[in-house]
Amino acid sequence: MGSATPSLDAAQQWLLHAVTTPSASAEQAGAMLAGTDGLDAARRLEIYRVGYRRRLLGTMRHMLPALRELLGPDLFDVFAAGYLDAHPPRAYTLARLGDRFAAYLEEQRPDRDLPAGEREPWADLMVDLVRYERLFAEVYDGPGTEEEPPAPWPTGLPDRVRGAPGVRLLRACAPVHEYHSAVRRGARPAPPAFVPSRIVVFRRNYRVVTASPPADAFTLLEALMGGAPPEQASVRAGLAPADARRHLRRWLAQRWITALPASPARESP
Amino acid sequence: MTAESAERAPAPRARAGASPRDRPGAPPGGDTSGLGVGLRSSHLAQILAEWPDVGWFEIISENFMDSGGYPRHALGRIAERYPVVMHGVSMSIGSTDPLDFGYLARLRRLADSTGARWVSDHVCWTGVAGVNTHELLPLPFTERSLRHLVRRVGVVQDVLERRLVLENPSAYAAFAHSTMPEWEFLARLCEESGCGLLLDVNNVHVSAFNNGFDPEEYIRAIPHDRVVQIHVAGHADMGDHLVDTHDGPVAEPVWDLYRLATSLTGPVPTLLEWDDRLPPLPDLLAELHKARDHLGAPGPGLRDAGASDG
Repeated sequence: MGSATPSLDAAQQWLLHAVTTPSASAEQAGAMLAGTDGLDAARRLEIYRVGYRRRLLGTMRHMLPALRELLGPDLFDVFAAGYLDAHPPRAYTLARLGDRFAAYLEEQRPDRDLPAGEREPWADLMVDLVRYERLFAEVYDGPGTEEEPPAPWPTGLPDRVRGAPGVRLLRACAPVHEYHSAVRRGARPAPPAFVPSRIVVFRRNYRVVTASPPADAFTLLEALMGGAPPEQASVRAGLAPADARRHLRRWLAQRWITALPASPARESP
Repeated sequence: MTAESAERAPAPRARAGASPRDRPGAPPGGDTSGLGVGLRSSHLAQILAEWPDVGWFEIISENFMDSGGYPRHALGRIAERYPVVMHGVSMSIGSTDPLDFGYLARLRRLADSTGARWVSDHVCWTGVAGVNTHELLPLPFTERSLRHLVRRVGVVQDVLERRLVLENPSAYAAFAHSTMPEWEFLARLCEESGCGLLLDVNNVHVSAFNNGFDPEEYIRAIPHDRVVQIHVAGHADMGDHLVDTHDGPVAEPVWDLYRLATSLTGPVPTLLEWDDRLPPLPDLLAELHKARDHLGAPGPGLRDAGASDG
């Protein structure tokens, strides 16, 4: 930037880069910002840099308490700072600051090119814990069904369903929901054992609730929420039709799934 | 199916009268004269249980724009009994990036659904090139910046179909090529765009210390008839600079500026901002109610009022 008065865009591009890029030089600060005897331009720029980093790191710590407990505060900050440098925030809300953190951790893992069975399970645990903490926040503050009238016990079964708002599914390498719950209660739990876990995250009376259905039921639910018709979904889950219908009735009643209107019958040409 | 476990947890949040108008059982409505506090998630359950003696609440817009959970549910119930005003931190009205019309549409929907008395944000920018730093970054106070803001305030007011209210942010630096003081920039912005002014007297104090201007001159120079709301807050002394931390009681020099401001504006809806290290609600309200003791008498301002205090 020369000695001419910078355009508004040039001034903003410079300050954004100077604030968000740790390696950015403060050399231009003297030309761009007015300094005083007690507070020179470089020091003023540093105040904004520190404020930016402190706010975002504080938000990451607040959003991911279980991962922070698992890693310890220092190692957590290393990962979080690396993520923030790689992905400066773009959303208008800080609630979405961690949207890409799980993907970032996946990209950073040194064993990412190895077959799944040869990868370091600790990295899987980190990623799954982040995914769960994000799901928890989404379900807590997302749309729900609390304002709707209670669902009647279904008499017939629909031929098409969809996942209800506020219901999420997660397959994890460990019971990350139990670990997260313990951390939130203020406990210092041991790292969870590596036991494959199927977790349904949903909300009831504005509280986040989790459940762990049996494997076949979870597969049925996954298929239904993925858009499969009930008949196909029960085949995919290996469930007898009567068992699948029993699950469907219960999930409709507790609003994990909602019925869609029947497809219009196809007319013969 | 295994046993279920249930939890309630706050989502990450942005931070940010004298006579109660709406009480339990009263019809929705009331006015925003007097004293209000920021609505914070840790107080929601207590507010719903006790309906405290507060004139009105200010919400951080971005904390509720996409919410469908407990915070939004609680806000809906609170808005039935208390007036609500909206205060945003991500409009980035001064940015050279295009305005985010999706954001503005959500802002308007929230304002309509809560009956917000007004919508405010800051005279600042928070990012360019698609980045949102979530910092209230300073603008160069130039004719070019002024033209840019006047045009964008007009667009925002058209979309929101209501007057926009803008706050002076705390500043830790000023651009060397600024050609006018902040108070002149604000006065001309109000005059040319029709926007209102949210005067944060703590920010005036912080910026004046950091940037070496006279805070009383600032407050005397702003357009007093445009001041829609006043903020008071606590700050931290870092030795060579002050930081607008919103984490403690209001400092005495800030109350002095409040007295000067209200002697010039007349009584204005006043809000205590307190975001970090939030005290129990009764302590928060006790700090808020100190504003009653620092209200300026109509007249020429602080120096004379101070003299009469003797």
